[in-house]
Amino acid sequence: MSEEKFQVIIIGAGVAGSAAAYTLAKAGREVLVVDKGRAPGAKNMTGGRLYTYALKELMPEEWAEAPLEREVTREIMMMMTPADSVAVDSTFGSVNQQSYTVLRARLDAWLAEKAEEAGAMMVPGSTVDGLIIRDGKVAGIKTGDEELEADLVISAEGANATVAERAGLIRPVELKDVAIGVKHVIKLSEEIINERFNTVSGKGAAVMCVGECSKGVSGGAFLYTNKDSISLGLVVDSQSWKNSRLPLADIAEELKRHPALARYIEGGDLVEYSAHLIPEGGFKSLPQLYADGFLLAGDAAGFVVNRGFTVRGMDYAMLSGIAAAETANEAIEAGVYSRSILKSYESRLQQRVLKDLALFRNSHDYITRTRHVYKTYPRLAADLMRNIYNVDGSPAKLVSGLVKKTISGRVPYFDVLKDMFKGGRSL
Amino acid sequence: MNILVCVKQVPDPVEIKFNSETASLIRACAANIVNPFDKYALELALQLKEKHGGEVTVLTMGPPQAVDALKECYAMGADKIVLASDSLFEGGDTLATSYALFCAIKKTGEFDLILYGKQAIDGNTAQVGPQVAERLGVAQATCATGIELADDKVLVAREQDDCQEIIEVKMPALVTVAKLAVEPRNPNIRRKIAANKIEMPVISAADLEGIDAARLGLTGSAVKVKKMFAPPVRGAGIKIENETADNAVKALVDYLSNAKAI
Repeated sequence: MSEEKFQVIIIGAGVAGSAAAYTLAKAGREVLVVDKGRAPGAKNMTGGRLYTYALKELMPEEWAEAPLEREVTREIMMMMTPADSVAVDSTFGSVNQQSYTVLRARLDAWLAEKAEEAGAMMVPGSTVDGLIIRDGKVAGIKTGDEELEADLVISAEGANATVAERAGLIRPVELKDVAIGVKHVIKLSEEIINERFNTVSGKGAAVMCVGECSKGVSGGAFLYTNKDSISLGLVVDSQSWKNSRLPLADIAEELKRHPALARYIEGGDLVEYSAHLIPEGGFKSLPQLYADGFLLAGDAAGFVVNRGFTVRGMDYAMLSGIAAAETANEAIEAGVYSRSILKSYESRLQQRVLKDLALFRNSHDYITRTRHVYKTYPRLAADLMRNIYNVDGSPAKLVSGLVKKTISGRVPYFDVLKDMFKGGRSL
Repeated sequence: MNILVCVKQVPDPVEIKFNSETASLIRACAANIVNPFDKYALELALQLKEKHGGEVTVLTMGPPQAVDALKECYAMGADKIVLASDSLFEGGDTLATSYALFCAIKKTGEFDLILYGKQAIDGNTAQVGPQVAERLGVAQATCATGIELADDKVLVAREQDDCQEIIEVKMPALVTVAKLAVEPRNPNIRRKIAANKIEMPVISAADLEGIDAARLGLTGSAVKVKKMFAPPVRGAGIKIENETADNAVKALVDYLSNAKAI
C-alpha cells in the first residue's frame, strides 16, 4: 500500500477535535482524526450543558440541526442539608438560545459526521500510543506497530492527555489539576419531564447544588433535563475527595435518594452511568499550548472554568479547536510548522479562552478551599428559611433577630464576610 | 485460491432493546456490528490466504448501511467487498435470502471455497449457509473450527463437545465457521483509512440476470410470521427467611405441597 501523509492528524474526536477537523476540512486540508472509542463520542462525557455561541461560530448554518436536547431557560441554584433544601429558581424569557443540554454520544457522533462530510477522514476504534518525534519536531503518530506521518499533530485527546504526556510535551496530571465527575442518565418520558420541570418540549432546566449532595467533599451536584432523560451527577475536587475517604459511587447513589432531587427522577430507568476526569486546575495548571509540529486543544489543554453556578468546557473546546485549525492553516500556507509560526495559536486564544481562565484563576481554589460552602452555609440557609416560615405559637421575632439566631455560634460573622468578599472576587 | 466470505450486519446485542408492547426490536437505538461468527469465518479465510495465497472477497446482502460492515471486513484484510442491496431483497426468510445470495454469488465470481458464519446472532437459524450450498450444488461442512487444504480437498475440523471430528470435503465447498481458538484480528489504521476511501460495488436485483423476483424478499418467503410476542417475565422466587431450620423446612414443605409439587 502506498505511503500516505496527512497535513494534519488530530488525536480525539471530541468537540475540540471535530471542531478542528471540520474547520480544516472546510479549508480543503487533508486531515485525519483518530479516536479510541468504537464510534466518535462513545468514550466522551459531559455533565450536560453546551453554551451555543461556540457551535454557532463553528457552523453558522448547520448548528440548528445539531442534536441538542433542550434549551436551558430555567436555572436553579440549590443548597441542601440531609432533609431540607433552599433554592433560587430563575426563569429566563429574555434569554434566547444561549445554552442547551446535550448528550455527548449524540452530539459528538453528529459533529464527527459533519467533519467527515466536509472531507475529514475519521478513524474510530484506534488508540494513538505515541508521537513520532524527529529532530525535536512532532512528525506524526504511532498506533500499535504503525506510524503515520503528518505536518502537524493536534492533540485533542481529552482530560488525561497521555500521548502528549508520554512525549514529554506536558507534565503528568496531578491531583490539583483535576476534578472527578460522575453521572447517571435516567430515562423518563418527555411529557413527565415537561410536567416535573414546568416546561415545554424543547426547553428545560439546569440545577446546580451544593451541600449534602457531596457529603461535605468540595464539589457539587448537577441536574440537566435532556429531551427524554435526566442527567444527574456530581463533581468533586480530587484532593478533597481523597481526604474524605468516601466511596464516590456511594455519594452518587445517595444523591439520587435526596428528597430534593429524588422527586425529579422518580420512576425513571437508569440507562447510563459514567465517570470522567475534569481538568479544573485552570490558569495555574495551563501547559505549554504548542510545540514544533504540535498543538493542544480542549480538555487536553485544560480549558475549563468552573464557577459553581456555570461550568464551561465544551465551548472553550470548540473555540480552541477552531483556533488550532486556523493556526494550522496559517502554518500550512507558510509551509513552516515551528513554534515561531504556531505561537499565533496563543494569541488567537488570548481574547476569549485565556482571558477567561486568567480572570477566574482563583475560582478553583475558592471552590475547593471555602469549606463553609459545603456544610455550614447550606445548613444556615435551610435553618434561616425554616425559622422565617416557622409559626408554632411561640413569641415571634423580627427577621434580623432570626438571622442572628440562625448564624450565632455556627460561624464567625467575619468568615461569612470574608467568604462573600473572596467569592465575589474569584467567581 | 479464491475464497468468498458471506457476512451479515446484525444489531449489537449489548445495546439491543426490546419493545415488549409491540414485541419487536427497537432497531433505531441499536448499533450494528458484523455477525461475530462471520468475523471468525473471515479470520479463517485471511489465514488461509496468508498460507496459500489467493484472494478473499466479502459479500453481504443488506440495507445501504451494511457498507459499514463491509468496510470493517476490508479493513481486516479482505481484497474485495461487494454489497447486494435492493428493496426487493427485504423481509426475506432463509429461503428467499439464500436464493438472493445464490444469485449474487453467481454474479460475483467463481470460488474454490465459500465461508459463512455458522449462524447469525439475530435470527440464529443456521440455515442460510447450507441452503446456499444446496443451491450451488457444492459440498458443505458446518460448524468448522479449523480448515486445512489438501490438493483439491479441504479438511474441516468440526465443533464437537468431547471429541475431534475431521471431515474431508471436495472443493468447491461451502463451510460454515464456529468460534475459533483465536479472536478475529483488529484492523490496522492504514487499512481503515483505505476502507474509508474504497469504492463499493453494489449489486441490485436488476443486475442479476434471470433472477425470479417472485422468489425474493417477503413474497418469496415460505415462512409467514403470524404473531410476535415477548415471553412472560419470570417473577422472583420465594425466600423463607428469619426462621429456625425446623420451621423453615416446615414452611418449605407446606409451600411445595400446597403447590402440588410434592
